[in-house]
Amino acid sequence: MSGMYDVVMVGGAEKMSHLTTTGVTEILAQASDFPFEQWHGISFPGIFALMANAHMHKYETTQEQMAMVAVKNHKHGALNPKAHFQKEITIEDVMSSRPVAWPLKLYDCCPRSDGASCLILTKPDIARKFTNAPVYITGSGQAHDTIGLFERSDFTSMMAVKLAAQQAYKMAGVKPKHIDVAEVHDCFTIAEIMAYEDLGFCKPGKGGKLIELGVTTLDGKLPVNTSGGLKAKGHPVGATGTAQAYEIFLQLTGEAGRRQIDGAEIGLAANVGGSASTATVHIFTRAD
Amino acid sequence: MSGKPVAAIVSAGLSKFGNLEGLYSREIFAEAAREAFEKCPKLDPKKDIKALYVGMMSESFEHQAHIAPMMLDWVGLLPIPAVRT
Repeated sequence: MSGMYDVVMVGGAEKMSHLTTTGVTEILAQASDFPFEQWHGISFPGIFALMANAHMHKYETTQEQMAMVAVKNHKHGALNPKAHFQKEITIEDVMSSRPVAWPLKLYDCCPRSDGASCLILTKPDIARKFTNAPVYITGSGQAHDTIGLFERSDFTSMMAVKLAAQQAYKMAGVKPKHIDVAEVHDCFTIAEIMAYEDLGFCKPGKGGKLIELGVTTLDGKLPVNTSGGLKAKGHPVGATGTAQAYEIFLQLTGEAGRRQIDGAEIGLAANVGGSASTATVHIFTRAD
Repeated sequence: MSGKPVAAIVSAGLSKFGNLEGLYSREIFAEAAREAFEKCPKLDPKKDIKALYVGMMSESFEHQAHIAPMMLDWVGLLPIPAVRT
């Protein structure tokens, strides 16, 4: 930051629901490689299905574990009055939903949503002029990877997320074990499992086990996607990043209502663009 | 334990998410902005906010490019600098 402005507004918006799923999928696919991905008919469900297949093959991650991510996020979404989906679902609902790109089924995929979000940011030293309960950004990381998935040596991890997380943790002076609440990019259920691993919430390959053990549910040790995530809150693409920060802001100021995590002090938001060709990770700390 | 703050969030807003039939993204963004402004009575948006950074994945959804000034207008902050991110 140049320091030129003391107060700025950041946000995003997207309007998608008026188009058909085919129309939306084609526009979203423009964030993947044109000559080697889009041209051959692969869109994001296909790209994330390749990652899911690789993860299942290498780590024995199961479709049931992926389904548990959807069930958890719907459970959280049911407590969020602004969520796209505010109803709970079962493992059976996910497993019996129609295939989109194997092993991903309809309920493994986030919906196309309309929505908008924004934040008012200030320099830290003047924050208290505006509120008694500011939330500080103490860590910020951004990294990139190839635009095409096919150019990478490993489909089971997102290098950009790992690098962005390392930068953010280092800047904030915290470790994954210090995080009280996190919002991650669950565009497909496998993406949340991979996020657990890339953010250091568990070892590589243990993401499926983490969801199975209930660690990331509202009453677990490290609640993830308390808003419902992209899966249940919805994914108006341009709004998603600051919408994640909005949820962390609520959690750290005690304003998250029925989904409030008691005493949350440090939060994390991890956002992804495309097949994680872009990743940002931010760490937030409650004011004393 | 925690590092030095690099920025502070003093307010935040979120629209309803879902199938918001009949609403353009500019109207939805205004809904989010309203919440952020109303939640922070000590903020005078017109006087205090010096720039807007607003993200949108694609102009193809609404056949609408050049969204930075449009969003700026719809949240009542013309004519400060605005950038699409």
